[in-house]
Amino acid sequence: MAQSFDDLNLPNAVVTRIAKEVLPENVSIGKEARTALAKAASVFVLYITSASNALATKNNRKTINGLDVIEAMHETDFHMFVEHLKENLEYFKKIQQEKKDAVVKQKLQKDGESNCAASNDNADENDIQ
Amino acid sequence: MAGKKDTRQKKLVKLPESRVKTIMKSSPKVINIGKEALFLVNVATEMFIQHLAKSAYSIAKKKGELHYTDIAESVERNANMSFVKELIPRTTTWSKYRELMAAKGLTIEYESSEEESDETGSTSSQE
Repeated sequence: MAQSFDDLNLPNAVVTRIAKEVLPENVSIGKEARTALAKAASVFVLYITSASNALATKNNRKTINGLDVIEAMHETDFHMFVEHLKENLEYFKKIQQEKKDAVVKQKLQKDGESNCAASNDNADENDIQ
Repeated sequence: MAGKKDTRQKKLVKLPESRVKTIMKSSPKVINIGKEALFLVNVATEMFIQHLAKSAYSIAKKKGELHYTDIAESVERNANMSFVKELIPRTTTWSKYRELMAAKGLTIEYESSEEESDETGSTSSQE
């Protein structure tokens, strides 16, 4: 459970930075405007979560997955986000796979090393190869 | 990839993951959130912020400045933003509010001092 109100709000500074990326340079954003953006973004998270969860539940799942979120964009009238989200999902999956592969590779290397050491010990025990 | 040493992996998202997760979990009925879902909500929220900011700026009368009123107006005008309408209400002036009430045939009881000042206030009951 969230401890305080702040926990349920996205940080103003980060939200402002994100907003400024699409505005012309040197546009000043008023203090109340910054707060409004952050509040709106926080509520958006809740809104999308609720929509996504409803879709997951509809499909008898207890876990919200990526496709639920994408489908939720259609449901909430944010179709224009779908394309970009799909691209991001592909990229994310790729990164996750690369991470997994790296871990497996490391494990194999380690196992290889320990097997090597084990077979050396065996060689000492059985002089005749 | 194993050979190159990246001192810092390129960040995939800008909003703090843990905070986004906390907000998501505070939603009733949510049981579990997959990694991909968390990631996409993060990205979607980023897109939303930029969408709202751009939309508000296009309405802004004073170029070079983005005000609360621009955001409130943008929210008012976009159907898909109605979910935040109550949170970001349009503001009005006291005199306009009186006119509005008068048009509806309602009077406002208040303790007046001398002259009312044109104070901006929110029409909603929120702070």
